Amino acid sequence: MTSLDRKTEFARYLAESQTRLYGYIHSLVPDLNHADDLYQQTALVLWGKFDAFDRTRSFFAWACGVARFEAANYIRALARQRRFFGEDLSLLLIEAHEEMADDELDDRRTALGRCVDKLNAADRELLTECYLNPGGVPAAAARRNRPVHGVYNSLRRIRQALHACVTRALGS
Amino acid sequence: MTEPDPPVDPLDALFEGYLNGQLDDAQTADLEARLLADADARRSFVRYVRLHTDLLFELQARQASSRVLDLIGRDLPVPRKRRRRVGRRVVALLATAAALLLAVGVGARLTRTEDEAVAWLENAQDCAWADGEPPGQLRPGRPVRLVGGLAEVRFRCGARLVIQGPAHLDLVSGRVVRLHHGRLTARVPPEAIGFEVLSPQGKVIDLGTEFGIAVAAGGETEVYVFEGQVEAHAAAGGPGTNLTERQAARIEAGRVTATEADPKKFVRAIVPTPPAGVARSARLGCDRPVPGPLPDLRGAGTGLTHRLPGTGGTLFHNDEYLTLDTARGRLELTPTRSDLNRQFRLHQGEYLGLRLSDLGYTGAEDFEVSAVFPDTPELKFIGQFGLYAGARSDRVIRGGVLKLTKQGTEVQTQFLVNNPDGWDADLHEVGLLGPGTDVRLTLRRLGGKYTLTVEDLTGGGASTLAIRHPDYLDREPDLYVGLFAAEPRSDVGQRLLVKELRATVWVPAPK
Repeated sequence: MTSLDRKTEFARYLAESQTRLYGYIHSLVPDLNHADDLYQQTALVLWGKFDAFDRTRSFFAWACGVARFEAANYIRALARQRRFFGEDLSLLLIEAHEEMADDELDDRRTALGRCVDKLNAADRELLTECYLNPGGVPAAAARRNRPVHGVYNSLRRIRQALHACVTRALGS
Repeated sequence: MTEPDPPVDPLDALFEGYLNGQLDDAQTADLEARLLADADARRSFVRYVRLHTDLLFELQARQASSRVLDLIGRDLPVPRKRRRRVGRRVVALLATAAALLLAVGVGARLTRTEDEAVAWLENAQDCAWADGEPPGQLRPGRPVRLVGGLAEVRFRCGARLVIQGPAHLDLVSGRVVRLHHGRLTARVPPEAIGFEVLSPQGKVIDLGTEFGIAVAAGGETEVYVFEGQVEAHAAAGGPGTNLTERQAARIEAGRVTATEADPKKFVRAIVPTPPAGVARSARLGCDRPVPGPLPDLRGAGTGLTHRLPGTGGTLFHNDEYLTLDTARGRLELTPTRSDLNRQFRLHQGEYLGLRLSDLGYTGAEDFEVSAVFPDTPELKFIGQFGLYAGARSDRVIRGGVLKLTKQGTEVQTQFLVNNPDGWDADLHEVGLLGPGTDVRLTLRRLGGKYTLTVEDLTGGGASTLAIRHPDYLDREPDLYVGLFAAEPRSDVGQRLLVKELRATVWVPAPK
């Protein structure tokens, strides 16, 4: 197999799994900056090990295993003594991620779009600031002259409302 | 407005805590136990964290729409009614947007609101403006009212005006101004020939090079030609009078009459006054460790004290990209993947130096920052490096050496660029720089004017770059200055060497 064929093959596998893989990595390191870096790192390692990938296996499951390993090192290196989920739970969670069919993922995203439309403008604005602006929640709190825990409460209220809305839309 | 805290399901609280990164060891163990015990809890968990990711993409896509879709949206249908598979499209959209943003790079803006400006303020000395603030965008129709001082305005067509306050003029178009009263000198290069200055009594058309025009309170107009020639017309019409070098004329009462030359009443250029005050400097020779808040990867103090606010948030305390080589008397900085243009990955961005208030800066003083970069690296792996001065990552000016692609080839060029709001603007780039030369860069503000000087210490020679005046920095009570190295496209870094960093503030002499 030529190296170009290998690249195309890898690209195809990655493209098929990328959203789900990113979602998994983001579940390990919910901070976006770190999730981004970790995703890149994982993709590079996957490419480096692609020759050893057993094509009868699930690429996604294999990729998650690599991601989990990279994440553990990454988090350790961050010098924050955060406890990481043990291996037993991690394998179960990977299974649970894999269980979500592509259709369900798409439906959830579609529903989320509509649910975000239903939020009032102030809530949408708060979300945008917390998720997209540098400084995240603490900066959003400072800008509004509100205590940080108050903004976390709002964030929880909004996320739970969205979660309920999406679940309702899926009828499950 | 405070919100009542509703009773929270403990599992929900743990999910939220997990997403916010707030769980301690005990709480993480608790969450782990609950998830191991209950398959439904696991299903809820993965869907909840999925919501977190999807929400991020959803919000990014909404924001990306307003910034990017104008550019690429003509080819891609914008889904108004959400359809199936929109998720894939969103990801594809973000990928295209990301690729586009990567291609955009330094100097480019995605919303070109300032394209309508036909001129801009390039230099100002002791200016007092009638509105209290320097004029922003100079579009046709805009009045310029200078109460005092000297202002240099550069036109897109190439013409340059030095206006002496008190003066009142209107920008009629990109090539015509109306001077109601006051004095100005116009320097007109060949490509801007035909530039006109209208006055209450007539008008002057420049036929090349330089002339001065003064309009007194009553409207009497006086013209003097420093170089080249102009055509002077009286308001009543009729043929114009040609004036050549060192000729002067008055235009009034419908006539153009020769008059005695008085060139001294005109200011032809703003001469930077030497910095006034006492110099307070900080100098880092990079030849020994200096204890401070920004140590290198081994913990040796570099003497640098502040990162540009908004940058370096996730870099380790002992900066792994920084090495102080005391034996060779230099600092080695590995560029990281970041870009002040569009505020890309600044949490990993290396923009570090000093804070001017530590040298007595209070907002109005002249200052400069300089650094010597021995043996400038081939810019294969460094996209840009140099010096910055600013209040934060989205209010900053920076300049130095930049890798650009011109007509398919990559070249190294000197540059100076404003970043008033997170996006680069007014990029000024000039010249080529070969690798392997020793350069000293100096970013200075003298008499309010910002310049970047690039001295070639190996071959000799220097060039100075100026830029549209970054008025967004004028009201900042404190500024951070320092050096930076970035490679927007990859993490493969070659090291930038720095031999000396110096910052100086000229504070008023004690009375």
